Amino acid sequence: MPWTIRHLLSLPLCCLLVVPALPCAGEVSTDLPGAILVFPKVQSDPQRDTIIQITNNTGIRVFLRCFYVDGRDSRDAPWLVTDFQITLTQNQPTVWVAGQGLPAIPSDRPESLYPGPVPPVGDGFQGALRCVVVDESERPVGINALTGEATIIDRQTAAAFKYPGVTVPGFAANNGDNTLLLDDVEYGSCPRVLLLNHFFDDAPDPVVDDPIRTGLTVVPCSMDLENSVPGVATLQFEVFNEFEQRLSTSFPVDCYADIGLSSIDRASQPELSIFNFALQGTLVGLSRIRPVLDSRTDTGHGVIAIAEERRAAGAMVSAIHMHYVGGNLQADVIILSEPF
Amino acid sequence: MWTKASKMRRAVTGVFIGSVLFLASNAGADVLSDQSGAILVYPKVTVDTSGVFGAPQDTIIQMTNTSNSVVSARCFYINATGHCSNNDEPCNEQVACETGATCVPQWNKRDFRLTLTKRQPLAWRASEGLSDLPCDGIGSPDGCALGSNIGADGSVSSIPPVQEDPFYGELRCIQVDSESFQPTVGLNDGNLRGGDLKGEATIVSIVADAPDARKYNAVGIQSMANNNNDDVLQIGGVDAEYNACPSVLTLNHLFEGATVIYGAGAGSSTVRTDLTVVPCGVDYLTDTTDPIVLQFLIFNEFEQRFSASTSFDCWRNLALADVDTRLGPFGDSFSIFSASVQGTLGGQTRVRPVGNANQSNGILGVLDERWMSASSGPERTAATNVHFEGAVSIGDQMILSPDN
Repeated sequence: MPWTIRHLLSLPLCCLLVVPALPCAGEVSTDLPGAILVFPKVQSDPQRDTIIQITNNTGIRVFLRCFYVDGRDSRDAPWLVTDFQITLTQNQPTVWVAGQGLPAIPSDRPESLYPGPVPPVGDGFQGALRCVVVDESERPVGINALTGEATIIDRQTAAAFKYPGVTVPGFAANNGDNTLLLDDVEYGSCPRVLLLNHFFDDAPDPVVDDPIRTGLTVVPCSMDLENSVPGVATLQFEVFNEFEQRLSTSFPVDCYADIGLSSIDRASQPELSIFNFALQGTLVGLSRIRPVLDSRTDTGHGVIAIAEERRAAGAMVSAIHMHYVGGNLQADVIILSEPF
Repeated sequence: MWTKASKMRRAVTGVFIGSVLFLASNAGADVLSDQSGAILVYPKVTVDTSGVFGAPQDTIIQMTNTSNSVVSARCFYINATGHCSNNDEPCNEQVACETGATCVPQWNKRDFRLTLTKRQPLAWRASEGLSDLPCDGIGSPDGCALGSNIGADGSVSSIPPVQEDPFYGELRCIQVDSESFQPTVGLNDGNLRGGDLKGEATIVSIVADAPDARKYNAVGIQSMANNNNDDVLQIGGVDAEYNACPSVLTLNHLFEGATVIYGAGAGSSTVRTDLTVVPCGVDYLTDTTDPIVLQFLIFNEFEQRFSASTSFDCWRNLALADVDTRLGPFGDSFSIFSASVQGTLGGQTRVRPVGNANQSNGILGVLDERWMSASSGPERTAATNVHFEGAVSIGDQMILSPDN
């Protein structure tokens, strides 16, 4: 049988046989369960902490390898990765506070129902959390079991914002090695374009007339945990205001970026930024964020992001869930550390 | 006589054709809150500028054309605000009427047309609308004298305020052709012409003289290739024009009254959760809806399972603890959504609408969390979208009222 026919046949057959547990095409999502779960922003400091919720959406027990990646400036702390394993029984939800983790010995249940210990993150931690579904021998599998939420909350005022973890779907063609290819064959691909609807910085809130600022947190999809090489990306921004006027800028990301919109184009004064209300003249804008591709096959440059809308000088924050367009044309690669 | 090889080829061909037909006749479950769509649903829009029901609040609607072409939309505000049967005062599930009177929910619509230029983002207050859309005066010989965002039929875009204040309800927009204003597929090949509208809603309130805001994404329902452009939108099922609504909504939530402790001496907070649901199928022509029964399956962290059910007509916002107990705080501690009953912090709730022979009664929803610090201070809120699973089988219909 010619290769092309075999190739054509594989898609619908795969869909017929494995739907709905293993979707046959897909991109990252915040709505659907996946085999990789990414929380782009986890924060734990004296003012704020993060409540992590992870749920197994399947009727089977699943095993997870999870990685905290400390994204603080590398001059202060090198790229630090802390990993741990947890187990979720059928449909089991689990919750922990990032600064507390989960203890080694369960106080309220038998060990068979305990997800396992989760280490607390260090004081001042700011970074990302990723979890990958594996089998009992820690080999990655394409079971789309995970959904999750992160709630970053002010310890004193309880001002909170919540965002869904970003899931990457896994497919049947998973070879079980520690090199995860986000290529639409082993796992879904990272987005080709991210869309961010935002108020321009310092635009007055239409309801309370308070200036609004927006922050953006970006993590690369690729990373090499075996060799401690973080992912990098260059992001191109196209910014449209309400008058259909377009301006653009770019920004490099190395491992992790948490930045105010007006700082992206490094304007000497915020009001000169293309993300600022004073320059744009309209309340809201659409920013199209596109990672720049190259020809490498050992890593990619896709990114995942969330944004925060800050009011009352940052005392009140609400999360902006990004929108995605298409799958990236260059595969991303996550290399897990070898268990030993 | 068929050879073994030809039998194999025929069998494989049959499976292939069957597979293609199967895929073609069944809509996918691409109701998504993180991609643009041809139908945009904002399940929760609230306006209460005087603070009748609590903290004064308003909703900022953001809507964007993600394509590189001019896009038009027909939008519908659905007013579900209740009024007391005896004096017409506004009421809801938390604010009761006088003894002997009942809170009668309503369901009426206000529609408007809108044209967005390419990639154009817009924002407006639900209580005020946007009578004049942004106009830079460039490219028009009359400047802004004739208004902005003019459709191909010459109509000027204008967004009205919601029907009343206080207002509780939803906003729904359908992408339409810019000339005929009839429903259409999307214009962008980048998302397989699934639709070009995306949006967010931010509910902003004033609590203790400080702003409180919670934000969620509008849910996008993606169009399919075979849109016949009439006013009856088939969402899922046979001959689907739009992707099907999910068969299950998955809520990852903390149980009612759960207290999250941040460490010794580091404070704690208590949380409660509200769920807002709207039906996928609506009839704007006759302004009628059928009751929908929702089945809830709740899992706690001990793998223990509970179930409950409730029903609604066209729009409902309720605390999780009110799903299986009396409305309001009475009996909340006995609810199966209560942390004191479940004994764990977190839970997973799967919500399944019960369909009938004619329609699936698909639903969409959004969650609000209400946080209270143990130390002091007012209630703070956060919103999030729910997760989706599967696709309803029969499908739902959205019937639009005539546009002319």
